[in-house]
Amino acid sequence: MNQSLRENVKRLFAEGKVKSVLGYREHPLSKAVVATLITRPEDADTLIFDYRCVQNLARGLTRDLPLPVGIVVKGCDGRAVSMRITEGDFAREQIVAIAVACPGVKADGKTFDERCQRCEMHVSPLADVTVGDVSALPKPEKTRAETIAKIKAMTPAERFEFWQKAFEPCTHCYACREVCPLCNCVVCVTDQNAPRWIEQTAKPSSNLMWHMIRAFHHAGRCVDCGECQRACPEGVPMHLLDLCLAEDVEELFDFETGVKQGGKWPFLLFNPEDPDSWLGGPHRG
Amino acid sequence: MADGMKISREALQTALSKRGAIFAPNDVGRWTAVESLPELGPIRPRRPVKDLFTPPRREIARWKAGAGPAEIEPAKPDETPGSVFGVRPCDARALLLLDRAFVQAPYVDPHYKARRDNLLLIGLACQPGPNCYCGVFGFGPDDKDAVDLMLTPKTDGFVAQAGSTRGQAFLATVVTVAVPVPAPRPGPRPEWWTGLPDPKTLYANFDHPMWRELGTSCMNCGVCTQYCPTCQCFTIDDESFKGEIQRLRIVDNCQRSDFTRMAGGHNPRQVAASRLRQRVLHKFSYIPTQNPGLVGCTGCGRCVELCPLDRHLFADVFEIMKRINQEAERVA
Amino acid sequence: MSENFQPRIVGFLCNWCSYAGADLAGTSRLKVPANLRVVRVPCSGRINPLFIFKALEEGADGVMVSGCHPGDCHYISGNRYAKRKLAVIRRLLDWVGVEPERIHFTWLSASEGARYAVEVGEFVDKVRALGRRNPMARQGVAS
Repeated sequence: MNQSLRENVKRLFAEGKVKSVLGYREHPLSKAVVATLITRPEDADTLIFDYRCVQNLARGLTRDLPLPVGIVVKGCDGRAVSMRITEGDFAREQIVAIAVACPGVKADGKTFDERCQRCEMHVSPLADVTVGDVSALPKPEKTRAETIAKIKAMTPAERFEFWQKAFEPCTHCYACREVCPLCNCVVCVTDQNAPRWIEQTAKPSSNLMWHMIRAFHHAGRCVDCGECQRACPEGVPMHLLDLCLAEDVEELFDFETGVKQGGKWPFLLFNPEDPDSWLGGPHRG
Repeated sequence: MADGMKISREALQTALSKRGAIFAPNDVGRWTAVESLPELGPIRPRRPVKDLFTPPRREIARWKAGAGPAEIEPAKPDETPGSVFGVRPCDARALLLLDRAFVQAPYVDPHYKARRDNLLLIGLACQPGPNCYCGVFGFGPDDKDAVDLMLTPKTDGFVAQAGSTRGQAFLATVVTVAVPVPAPRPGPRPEWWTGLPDPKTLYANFDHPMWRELGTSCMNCGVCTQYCPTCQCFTIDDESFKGEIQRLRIVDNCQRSDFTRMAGGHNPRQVAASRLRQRVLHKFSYIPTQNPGLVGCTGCGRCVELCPLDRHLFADVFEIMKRINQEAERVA
Repeated sequence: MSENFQPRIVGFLCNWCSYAGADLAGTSRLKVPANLRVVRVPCSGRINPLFIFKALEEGADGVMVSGCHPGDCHYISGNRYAKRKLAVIRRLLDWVGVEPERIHFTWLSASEGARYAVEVGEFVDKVRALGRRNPMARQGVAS
């Protein structure tokens, strides 16, 4: 895999298709797998791809990179890149997607990540180059519905209690926001103080408000890469709330994030057939 | 061999309880008041001990909104005596740095000082972990210079050594037995380590392109800053609810994109790499330059352990210095 | 809960239809519970989910949003976007554990003064039965 990846990248440089490539490398001192930006073809020999490549590199796409930029993408990462293009952050020609056949990654080094066990799209739908054998990739072992079933089974009071406990350790460090490839507001709602929607310090109300708004902003945009949860230094399971809303978005709007090129975010559209029953509740439907 | 005082857990607990509240890390690494001395792991907890001295959220005044001028009640500094159990040398040494910021005349933070004056620091020796590197800064896991008492855990209690006159005085109030203690262990260092960066050289290379390269793998999430025992930046904020207003001193984070944004919109550290550079220079150049003998890092390794992008901040510092030195040699 | 409990409900009404409908209820001397505090918005499409979450956080016992019927929006399609947003807002509040009876989304036209009075009355009764408080309500400045 590494050999093929490096050759492909060198070829892209030689053909002038990329001016830089975002990929993974092994840090020479710490031996950890980190993101790297290479601008010279000879540096392609530092690139790797294996089960340690957990990070979503799409968050590293900034407009000051030498464009066109190549980016090594797993299935989830590629969908994030696709959404960034759909949302107008980048033009399609500015990105060269180097799709790798990803069987899954292991953040703890031993078992496949929970999200990988559910993964239905191991290869990026956005792919200019494909590396690796895409025919032998694993099937999902469980579904998103199964993962959130325990919350669905709870009463409202139990649910509220669950989330209070879940968000209690949150310190508002916003690492979840920084690592998310789709958190790209120029001024985040948490940094606005006129009006102050979300207070800066950690307490039950602001913790809940932050994670609710975060989930809402990601409804229909989250690609289930799980970076938010992995980044959290306190182990807050905020990704679970994203999964809950993803189920709703798929049910209501039949929308799967980042799969269709140019697939617009459901909230930017409407269908005259959208039923009034969506307003829900015990009153008028 | 030096002398230590053997003390039982019960005797220590009783003596500390007499003093007042006892603070210790809980099972998720947060500093809270405890009823009894907990069993602690081999290394520092997730949160640094500075939380008890510069808490993330501290009220400094409150008042009520209403007709007429508000009556502002400044918060009183907390002078209640107590003790902190389980302070590791890296966190304790970091407090010495915070003292420079908050206790040095003429600007003294009365809240910080009140806690420093009234909380006895009971240190606990470590079994260093894979991310620890306190040895780089000249001390080790048994270091007692920044605590009042340094405890080495034994099967039936602790062996205590006084690190200060306050600690000495406390030990005199407890029943102990003198025992010999081995020399303090050296602290761990990474195998690739060859020396601390020179503060002046680092600063002289402010515009080196390597900062940009390192910046591409950093997302400025700020977790390293959030958990660093020496980080001290704070800001003032007001929070209110139904007419009750609190003025707060809250921790700030130089990795936030708006940390240096000014009224009018100008932001000198708009570029992400510049904020990473700021952090490195602050710790390894500005602090040593202004406080000879001190470095803005104590090798606790939290930044390495918690970085979501698996970066090794300390290795980056080393790499920059190596590159600078290599280029200097080539020119020479 | 307590019989003296008077729920405090925030109602976001769109200016062109729902607010006019509420006005009509008033001029027709229809009984509308005073529990509803109205916030007038230009269109139901103006609703930012934060309005609803903040109202709950600040202690509202219930939140109502009403716009023009789809097809009648003064801005042509604002309420159609609102329908999608409100659908997901309701789901999110449901996941978080806010009782669904605390939230009422509806369409009310300028001529539906009577309907407005009935719906608000029923909604207030439902919220009263739930009691105080909604779980999201803050207790104090440090909570």
